Formats: sequence, C-alpha cells, structure tokens
Amino acid sequence: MDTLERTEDSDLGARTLGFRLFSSFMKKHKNTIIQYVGLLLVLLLFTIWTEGKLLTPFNIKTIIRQLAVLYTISIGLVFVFSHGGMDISVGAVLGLSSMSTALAMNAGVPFFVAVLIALGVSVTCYFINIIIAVQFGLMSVISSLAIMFISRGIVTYKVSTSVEAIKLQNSSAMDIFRNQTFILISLVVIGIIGLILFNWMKIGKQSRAIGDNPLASMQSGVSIKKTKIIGYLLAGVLVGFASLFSLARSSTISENTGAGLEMDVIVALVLGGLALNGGSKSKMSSAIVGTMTYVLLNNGLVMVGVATEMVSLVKGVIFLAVVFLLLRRPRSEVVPR
Amino acid sequence: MEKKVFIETVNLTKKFGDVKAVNKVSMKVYSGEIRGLIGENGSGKSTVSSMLSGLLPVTQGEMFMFGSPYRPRNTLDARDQKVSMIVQETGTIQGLSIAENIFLGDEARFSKGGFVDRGAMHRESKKALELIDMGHLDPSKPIQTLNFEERKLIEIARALYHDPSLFIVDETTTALSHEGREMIHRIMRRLKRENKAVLFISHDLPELMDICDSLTVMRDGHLITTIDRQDFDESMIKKSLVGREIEGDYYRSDWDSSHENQIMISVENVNAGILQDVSLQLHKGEILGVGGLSGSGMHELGKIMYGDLQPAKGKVTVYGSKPKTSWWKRLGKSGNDSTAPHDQLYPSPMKSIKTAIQNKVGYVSKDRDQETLIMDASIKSNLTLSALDQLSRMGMILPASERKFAKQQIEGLNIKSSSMNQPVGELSGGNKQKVSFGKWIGNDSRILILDSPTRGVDVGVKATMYQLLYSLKRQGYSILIISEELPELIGMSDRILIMKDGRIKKEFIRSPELDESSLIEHMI
Repeated sequence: MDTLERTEDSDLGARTLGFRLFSSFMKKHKNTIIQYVGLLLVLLLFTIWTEGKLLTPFNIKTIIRQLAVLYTISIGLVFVFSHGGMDISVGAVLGLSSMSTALAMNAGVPFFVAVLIALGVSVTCYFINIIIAVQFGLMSVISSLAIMFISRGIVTYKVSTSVEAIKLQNSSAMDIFRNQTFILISLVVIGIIGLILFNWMKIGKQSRAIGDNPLASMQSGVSIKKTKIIGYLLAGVLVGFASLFSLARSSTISENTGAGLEMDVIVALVLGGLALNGGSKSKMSSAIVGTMTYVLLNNGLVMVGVATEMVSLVKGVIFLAVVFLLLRRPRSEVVPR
Repeated sequence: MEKKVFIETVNLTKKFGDVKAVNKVSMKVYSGEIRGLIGENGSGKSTVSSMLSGLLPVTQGEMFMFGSPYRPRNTLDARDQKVSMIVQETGTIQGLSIAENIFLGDEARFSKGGFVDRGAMHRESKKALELIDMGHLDPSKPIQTLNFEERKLIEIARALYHDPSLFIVDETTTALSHEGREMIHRIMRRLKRENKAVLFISHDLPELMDICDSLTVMRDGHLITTIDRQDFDESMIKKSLVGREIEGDYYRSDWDSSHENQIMISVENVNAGILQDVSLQLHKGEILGVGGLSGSGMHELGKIMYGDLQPAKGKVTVYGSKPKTSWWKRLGKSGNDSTAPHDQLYPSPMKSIKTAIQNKVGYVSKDRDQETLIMDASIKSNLTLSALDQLSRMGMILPASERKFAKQQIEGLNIKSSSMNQPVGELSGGNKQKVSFGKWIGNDSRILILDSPTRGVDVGVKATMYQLLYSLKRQGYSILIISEELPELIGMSDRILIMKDGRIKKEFIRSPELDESSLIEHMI
C-alpha cells in the first residue's frame, strides 16, 4: 500500500508542490503557529464578540492584574518544564508563601523583610522538591505532589486553627504591588530577564539539552543536578514574587489561596506552544504569549456571559484540542546498524 | 534439479529522510540455498534483511514470495509467512523466563480461558530448545541466567520453532564462540537439505565462502554483484566490496609510528566492571587503537578514560591544564606564578567528565545517536553545548558568537546541511558523526577518545574521517580509537592494543606486515 501511494506522490509532485511546501512549513513551525495564532484568534474573537468592550482601558487594567500572578509563575516554571521536570505544587506553595508574608507583616516586620520571606518560603519549597527528586531518583512530579500536600496542609491547618480570618491588617503596605505602572514594569522586566536567562545563558541552554537527552548532555559536560537545582531555584524566586502580587490582590488568606494555579499554568504554557516533555522545542515566549492567551480567554468568556460553571468545561475542551495538535508526532524510523 | 525462485525483490528501495540506505536492489533467493550477503558497514545489507523480515517498511519497490506479492506488515506477520530473522543486537528481554522469551508476542497460542497455560508453554519450549541441542535447559528459568552466547542461541531456537522457509542470520556469528558458530552452520546446512532458504549476513569473508552457495555483494545501498560458489575468489570479492583499490589514500599511507613522549592520559592497574588490571598510556600526537570483541571491555575502557566510569581500583591521570585552585585558597597566597611556561602540562586525577573536559578531553560514544548527540536539537546547539563556557562572555552566550562558532565547525568539517538550525536527527550518519567530532574540535580538545568512530558511516565519509584523524594527529592531537573493525585499526593506529575478557592481551606497533588474522588470534 505504502509503495503505491509513494509512486503516485512523485507523479503528482509538480501539482502538489505548493501544498507540500505549505504543509511541511506548517509541520515545522507547528508550535509557533499555535502560539501566535491562538493569541490572535482569542483576541479577535472576543473583541468582536464583546463589541470592543474587551479592550476598554478599564478591562485592560483588570486583565493586567489578572495576568501578573500567572505570568510570573509561568516564566519560572519554564525552567522546570524545559529540562523535563513537572511541577504541580505551585498553587500550594504560593498559598504558603502568601500566608507567611501576611503573618510576618501582621507581626510588624519591615516591608522588605516580608518580601524576602515571600521569596525565601517558596525558594525553600522548590529547593526541597528538587533535592528529593534528584537525591532519591524520584520523578519530579511525585516529589512536587508531596510538597503540594505539605504546603497546602500547613495553610489549611493554620487557617482552620486561627480564631479569626488571616488577613493582612495593614493592607496599604502592599500598595506598590497594586500599582498599575509597577505591575506593568515588573512584568516587562521579568519577561526580559526570563528571555535572557533562557536564551542567552548556560542555564537555559543546558536545561533544554537535558530535556532532550540527559545522557548526551552529561557526556558534553553538563552537570545535570546543578542545572536542575538552578532551574528550580529560579522557579522558586518567581513563585515567591508572584505570591506578593497575589497577596496584594486579595489580602485575606483562605485554605484555597492559589488553588488550581498549577493546572492554569500547564494550560497556559500549552496554549503558548510549549511541549510539556521539554527539550529544544521549549521556548520562553510560550510563557509570555500563553498566559496572555489564557487570561484573555478567561476574561472574554466571563464578559460574553458564559456561566462561571461552564468556563472550566470550555477551557478543558480547548486544552485537549491544543494538546492533540501539539503532541501528535510522525512515526520516526531508526536506521539499523 | 531446477532451482526455484523463493524470494525475489524488485527495485527495493529504502530511504531514511534524504538518505537512500538501499537503492533499487533486485535480487533472487532460491529454495535450498544458503545465500551470503556481504558489504561494509552502512552498505545496506541489514536494511535489506530488515525489510524482508518486516522490521522496516519498504519505501519503494516490491518483494515477491513464490511469485506472489509479499508485504509483511511487521515481524510477526513475516514469521507467519515463514520468514524469521536473528538480529545483530540481542533480541531477548531480561526478566522473562526462557520460555516466555521464546514465545514472546505469541502467548495467545497457550491461552486457556484467558490465562497462559505455562505447562504447555514449557513443553513447547523444550521442543524448541531441542532443535538447537539445548534440551537440557530448564525453560522456566529467567533468561539472564544464561550467558550472552546462550541467549543468542535462544533467539535461534525462537526463530527455528516456527519452521521458517527463509531464515535470516544477521551478523550473529561474530558474537559466538567456535562451537556456537558450528551449531549455526549445522542448522543452516540442515535447513538447506530441507529445501529452505537461508540469508546469511556477515563481515567474515572466509566464513561466508566456506558455507554459502552464493554471495551477494552490496555497497552504498546498491547491489554490486552476485557470485556463485564455483566462482568464489577472495581478492575479487574484496575488490567489489570496496569498489576501488583501498591502498593509498583510504587509510594513512605512512608507516611511521613515532609520536612525542609526553603522556596525555595514563591508566594504571585499573579494575572496573569487566576490566582487570588494565594499564596503558596515550601520548601526545599518537593514534592508539584498541581492538577486541564487544564484550572485551574496550568500550568500558573508553568511558574510564573519559571519567564517565570510575575505576574500582587503580587510577587514571590526565595531563592538561593546571588544576584550578579555589578562590579562598588563592586569597591566602601572595603573588602569582605566571612565570611557569605556558604549555606546561599538569597531571590531575580523572574524577569526572568535568575533569575530562577541563583537561581538553573529548569523547564520542559508540552509541552516538543516544549518548553524544541530541537528535531534536539543531546542529548549532549540538556543536556549542560542550563549548558554552568558552563562548560565554560575562555569563552570556550571544547568538552572534554561537553562530560564528558553529559556522567555523560546519565549514571546517564540511558538514552538509540546509542550515545550522537543522535538527541533527535529519542528517546522514556521516554528517552526524562530523557534528560529534566538531563538538570536541571546536572546544579545543587535544585528546579525543573515539568509540567506533566510523560505525554506520559510508565509505566515502570514512575516507574523509581517516584523513581528518591523520591531520589531527599531525597537529599534535592524541587520539584513542576503539573499534571492532580491524582494518581500520591496522590502517590508522600507531599502536594497537588487543583486549580480551577485560585484559589487554597484546600490543602491536604500526607496521605494514600486520594483518587481521594475527590480531584476531589474540581476540578469541
């Protein structure tokens, strides 16, 4: 069968050349196409659907505030996903980090110490996570599961045993993280730092190499442990930073603070064209573009009046479609020796 | 007796990407015949047999069995049509019993109410084992209780059990001892008497000439000629194998085995895994060849010298850059010692791959596609991965300097590609190998450890590789070649070490008198 098709193929070669060039172009740049076409599509669709209300200055401000947390986290987690790691603890870690910061500030520590606490808590969580994974040869998703339960457990315990709700008493101390200009500048700076680290520095290049082929990376002199640990530490710093944005948005800590973020990140990264198994196809722009698409999608769906109960379902379907497009790969053959 | 065409291929072609591994091969195999298939590495003989046995789909062309189209969908389908193959690498699965290995993928035949009837399976396994005179084995034992050779014979039992009409033996005998070979020869002759066909693929020309009725020679994917037994002539076959006189510029032409006295890597009384008390020295400007069979420990030796494996006993020392003193130690010292000559080499113990790379050692693995290259990554990323420290300026690796670096290697080694951003997986075997060389030449390595450097590389590229190695030698590189191909070792090395059972058995110095048979003598 195969042979027949192929002979015909070469006969029709001239006529279908254009199409074949097109399809091979599409195949090669599949991830990039999904990434940008997805963003454009969502933007266009909801702008028309909401009759332009999507892009009113007020709504754009809302979108930027919604974007801040997810965007910051996603950039951090690219350093985890690109080397083949998987993390589902981010929501719980963010919750723990926010709570620690709130408690510390209520106890009266200076603002900058509170910021350090936020970063310190999440960096510690991520450090423990990767050390468990590396030292005991555990799959990183399993160790992150443990971290997730522990972090969430601490938050739930603390919240349920407190007499009154854990709430940032001096909410105005976090004003800076509510300032529109500060948020915008932070996002741009974080994006640029992420791009430089990932594209121009050893950590990004080595992460991608490990994601593709740990053995060959090792034989090329890449220290796998070191690279993974640095990747997780970077993720920890950014998650800590994101927890400040989160605390600024809602100053009350509940046992659900940050819940579901771990899945939002994955969906956003996939919408941004990131192959979740890591490797050379990983791109930092997936985090930047993907989170924008995701937040626009969320915001737009609510604006056009899709019931909140339905948003999850719609997102699930879109996620499945994108994953299907991304992960289907042609069967490759191996040359016999 | 009129010979009957059993299997016929017409314009059989197989492409891997843009590379034609097999190009329009038309051949006929007759019933009651032992057909030899010979060719250099990468000549396409394994690809032909893989297509016949259903392991690889056909790109173009047709195959016929008794005149009717034969299109196996997979190996099981081929087996049902009475075509069985024994592969080069081991095809048994550890952790399963002998019986389970024999009936792998075929458990359904012993199905009894949804469960596998082990009793029946073991009885049938016993029958299969008796076919190869190994009826004394207990089929319920796990396969890893057998040694390499016995496992190979289990595969043969598996193939024979299904009573094949075409029995394909792909370079199996190189792994076997004399008795094992005799056994396979007996089986092949028996099949021949039963009017079955045998396709026998081997590197070993005398063996083929001894047992085959006819020989088909392949070269660069083409069928060159088929010779009947009465016309066998060793020198003629050899000539058609290579396609030209191999004297002169194929290997290096000088017989000068001199090199500098400076030792670059020294291995002293090393024990590790199979290796027993191995000592050797690699000198500056020397090409040192290491030969032996697969299980002789020579591949492990390469890894030991690269710091990838740590010896249990003994030590490995590399002579290279001055060991870095940590900054807190440097703080305590006053003054600097820049007065030392620049080209002074300092010994340091080989602790890890990091030590190796710091001391300018490069390593190309036997399993190049799995261990040395990253198939999905671009040529550029592959070339720069081992040179990131060298390319980085204040911690940053700018795209421009990466491009410049990659361009240098691509041009210097003449790597054929559409662009430096092309994934390495799309390149041909020879170009892949050039990329893996480029990785180490680019990062200024002075010592190259090359495990099977010309594996899966065609003749033309081989010649360029050899020229490259020779010119590297003259530039003062130290090169260790680990290879199973003896002509290559004889042709290229200043010194050859032959390994057997984890020990260095014999050392030969480069000389025109050296021939394969004197080397083989110490290998088996």
